[in-house]
Amino acid sequence: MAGQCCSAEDQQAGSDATNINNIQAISNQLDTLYSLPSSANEQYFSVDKDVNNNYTPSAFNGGSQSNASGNVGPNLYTDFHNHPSGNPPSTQDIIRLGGVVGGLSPNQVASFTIAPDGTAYGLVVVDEAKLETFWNANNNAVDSNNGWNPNSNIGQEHSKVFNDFYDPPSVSYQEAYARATAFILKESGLILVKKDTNSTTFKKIGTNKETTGGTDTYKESDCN
Amino acid sequence: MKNYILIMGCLFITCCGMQNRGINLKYNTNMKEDGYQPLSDFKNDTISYIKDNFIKHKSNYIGKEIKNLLNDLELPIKIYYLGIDPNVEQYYYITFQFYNDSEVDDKVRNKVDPLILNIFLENPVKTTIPLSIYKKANKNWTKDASEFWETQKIKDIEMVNHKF
Repeated sequence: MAGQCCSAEDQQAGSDATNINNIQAISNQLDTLYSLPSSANEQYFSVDKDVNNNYTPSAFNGGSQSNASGNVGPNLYTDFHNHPSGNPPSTQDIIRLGGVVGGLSPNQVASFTIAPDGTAYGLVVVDEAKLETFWNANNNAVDSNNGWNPNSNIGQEHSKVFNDFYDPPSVSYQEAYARATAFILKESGLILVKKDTNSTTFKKIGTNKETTGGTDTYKESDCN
Repeated sequence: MKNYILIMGCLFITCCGMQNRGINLKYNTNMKEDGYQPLSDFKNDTISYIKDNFIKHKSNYIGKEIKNLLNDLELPIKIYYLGIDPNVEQYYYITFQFYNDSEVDDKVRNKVDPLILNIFLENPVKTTIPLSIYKKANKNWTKDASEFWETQKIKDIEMVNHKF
């Protein structure tokens, strides 16, 4: 049922993500992130945007294999970091974005993660009020291992959706994890978009719930 | 005949009394040993039954095989889930649901605890065997699932907190 739930807002999120990645000052620096192997540590850079629409990327800020971050501020427009594991945006990535948009970086419009195989994911801000509500409800649900706390409502939902999709080798861990993340981000004010390895275009990843005989199952509802 | 009925009556009353004392004595002994209280004691209050036996007295099960918990558990597991680690492809907990998904949604909507129990494992499971069992039975807790998981040791037990 791909494309079933691709609203104008969903399509716009994909276009916005694609356009951001094509800004010259950003794409030059992105080449470095795309070249990093899975053995590398995380590297992060942010991009400021001034009143004259000039985009200024920061220097790279190195982290560990699973963590990197940088400065925030009112001019922060977007940020990028690699995930050596190839995993989609983590719980911490989501909560961090919600926190800065609601605080020190209200003008941040998206956050991107890059996998060693060239896959990229973007969290696109589409509704700041919804994001604030989502953040308030879930910012304490981050587990010590950087996942959703399994004892929280959102952690349970994420786990249920992941279980439905995960079916290696046809559906990888990363794919199932991304679909679970897309589902829990419904009503979050964020839209999860993805660029495949050899593509230059970001599109929304969608996951819908269907209930039959009292049991939930989850289906793809991506933008084509 | 009157005496016979009287004697039989006394014997019946005595026997019943002994039997009750025996049950009570056994029951009280069980409580002292591990604190487990049967579901019937909770008058169908399943929330208190789970909270008292498996959260308040979780130490009875921690460090032991899951089969100990399964042997005591008087509520049928309707659906279960596998808890994947967000960083590594391994299962580090399993989730027991005592109601189907629609019933859980209804309870959450009405702010009633849907009784979802997370069993954390001492040693995460890295094989794909549990996934194939899970997929084959469409989330239902089957004999295969029970046989696979019962020998895993429990690290912790928690209930999902819906913050009502």
